[in-house]
Amino acid sequence: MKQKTEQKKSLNQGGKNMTEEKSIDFFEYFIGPQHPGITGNFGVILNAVGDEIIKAQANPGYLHRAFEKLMEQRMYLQNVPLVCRICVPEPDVNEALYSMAIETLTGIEVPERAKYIRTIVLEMARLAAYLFYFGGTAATLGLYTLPNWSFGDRDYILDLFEELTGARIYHIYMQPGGVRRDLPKDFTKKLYSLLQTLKKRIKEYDGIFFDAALFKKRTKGVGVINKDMAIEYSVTGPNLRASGIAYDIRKDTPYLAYPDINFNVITENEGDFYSRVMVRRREFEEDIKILEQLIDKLPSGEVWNRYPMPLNWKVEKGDVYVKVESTKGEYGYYVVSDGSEKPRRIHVRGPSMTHGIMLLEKLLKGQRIADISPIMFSLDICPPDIDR
Amino acid sequence: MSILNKFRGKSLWMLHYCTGCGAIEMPPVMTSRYDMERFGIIPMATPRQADILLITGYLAVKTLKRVIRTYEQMHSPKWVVGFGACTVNGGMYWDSYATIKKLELYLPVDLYIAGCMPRPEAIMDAFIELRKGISSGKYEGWKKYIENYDWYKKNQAKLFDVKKWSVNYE
Amino acid sequence: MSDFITRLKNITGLNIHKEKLYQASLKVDKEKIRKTLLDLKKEGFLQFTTLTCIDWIEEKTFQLVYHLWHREEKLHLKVKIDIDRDAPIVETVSDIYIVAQTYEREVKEMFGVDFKGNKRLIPFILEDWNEIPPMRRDFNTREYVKDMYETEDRTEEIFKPRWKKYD
Repeated sequence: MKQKTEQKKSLNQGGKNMTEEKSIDFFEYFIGPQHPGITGNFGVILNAVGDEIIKAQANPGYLHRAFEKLMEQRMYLQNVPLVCRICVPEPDVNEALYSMAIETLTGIEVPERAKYIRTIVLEMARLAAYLFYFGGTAATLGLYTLPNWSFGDRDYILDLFEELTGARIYHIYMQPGGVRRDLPKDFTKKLYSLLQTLKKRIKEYDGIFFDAALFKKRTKGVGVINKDMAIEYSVTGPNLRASGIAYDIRKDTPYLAYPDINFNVITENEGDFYSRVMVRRREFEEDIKILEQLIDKLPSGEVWNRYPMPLNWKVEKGDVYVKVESTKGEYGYYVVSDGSEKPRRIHVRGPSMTHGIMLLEKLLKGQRIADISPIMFSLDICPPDIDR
Repeated sequence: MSILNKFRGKSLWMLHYCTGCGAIEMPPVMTSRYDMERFGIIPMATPRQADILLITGYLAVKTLKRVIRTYEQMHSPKWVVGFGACTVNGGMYWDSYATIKKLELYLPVDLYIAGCMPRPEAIMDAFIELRKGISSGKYEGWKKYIENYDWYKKNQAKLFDVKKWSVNYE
Repeated sequence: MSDFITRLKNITGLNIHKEKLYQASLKVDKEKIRKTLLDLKKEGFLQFTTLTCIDWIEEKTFQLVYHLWHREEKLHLKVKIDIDRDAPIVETVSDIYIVAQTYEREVKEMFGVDFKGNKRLIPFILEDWNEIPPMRRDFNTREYVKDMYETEDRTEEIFKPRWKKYD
């Protein structure tokens, strides 16, 4: 904390001649990176008068690993284990996007069953990420019961992931041409019974958190993003739907198995903290429905179409932008190939790049210091995909 | 000295600092399923009251500065646990210009947890091992840091100016 | 989508190529980028998705790709410009699309492309970086790693008593 002092010019006030009096204009606070109320390793620098923030500056870069540079130096298949590490709470979107981009460039077909399995994995990851989000949001408000419940429930999903892929967090399950292996025996049965459990659990969450009067009072009207502002700041994903714009990439430009699935696009109108949480909470139920449909419609057949020998696998010259709907917003990959064994450029468009810098700085202006971490958590900012 | 060590191992406070992607496995360890409070370990928000500095994964040079600051703010006795393959030798990021490769060149690491990422059971196991080691006086990296301060500072100075402290902002 | 592209061609006089996956691309001159984006924003391209820079070191150019998204017509438009690699200066679009400011900051840091008129080109991700911008093709990260991170490892010597005593 640093005091900014400024020497005021002499001014005549109430008959007294005040000369060269020092006054404190604002305080400078450094919040993060070592702070429990910050989503991950991220910093915010604040100028505040008393408790009111007059200027906020996001300070990212603590998680920079130079993925885009590393991917230029590896062959196409070597990048598969690397990409999932870009976004930590929801790594599967990266694998799906990378595979989709390569498939579009090379024209490798994906078997129908593999498409469904990929969608199941993406939706399971979405449930896990939402449970993580609920826990984090409740914890920023000082409620420590919900994290204990939701992180525990999230572990059931991670157990299923472990059975399917062999790992809890980084699955490295999807690859160009399909997925690595077929579903294990009785996997869909286990998933179905877990979904029934989660359906009951989300009702219990309602009682403790989402319907609680204290939660509503604390969050309504905090950090409002109205429709115009959402469009101006290129907001995507659940944060956009919380502002009343029904836009979902799964519905508008469907990918993988989403064209065959019926689901509603959830919207809320207020655009405040409460709406952002409730959009996700209602989407949680919708995702359970999507998963049930996927289990019902799962076709049989192959799960992987062979790609060429990876050591001299040359991808045709061209560029493609692919995107999916992640829990944080639009996640996109822009892959440029120059016809060699290694990609020329892979640009990762993380959703937090727009939410975490410009939008956050705008929203924090005029707020109280106590509202920083609730607003950050409600936007679901994921610093690893800003820094990459 | 040994009697003090015996008590030190019983109640450890871990600094709540998510330095890398390993932080995603900490919530399950802290909360209901694995519940590390059983072993007397809870997260602590301020470095001045913490005993363990858990480096959860790779460190970008920008983070390393903050980590070293944090480490030097902690009161001894203090212990550093390296978490994940990227603290051992760089792991996935062995040719990345932004992250450090061997954590032990910059901070005295007492214990490593290998894997990318390590399972919660591995973390629990490491904490139990750390408790035992502290009680028996096996882990005293903080003393080594003081004894070899010049060498550690020399390595740190290779990456950044240890005397200047700069943050990017307007 | 095709109707919209023909309409767009008529209105703006731009040469737009349709591609797969709801995409179209467009190449304009470096000087015309501001005018093009202003025109396109009027036509309803409200979302600035991202800004990519590609280093074509063989041709001595940087290619900047502005990604825009039209929500109603479902069209992802990639506006490409080529700039000289030796004097990489281009006019900013951060007053047309606010979020472009962040992306321009990133490109400035990673490639060294200067954006004339952007008010906030302060360092973004890197801190105290003295080398050439790291995402350029001529920056060799493996050599940099060798120089910076490989030092004489004395840890075994330092921790020797521990191993002797307890193992």
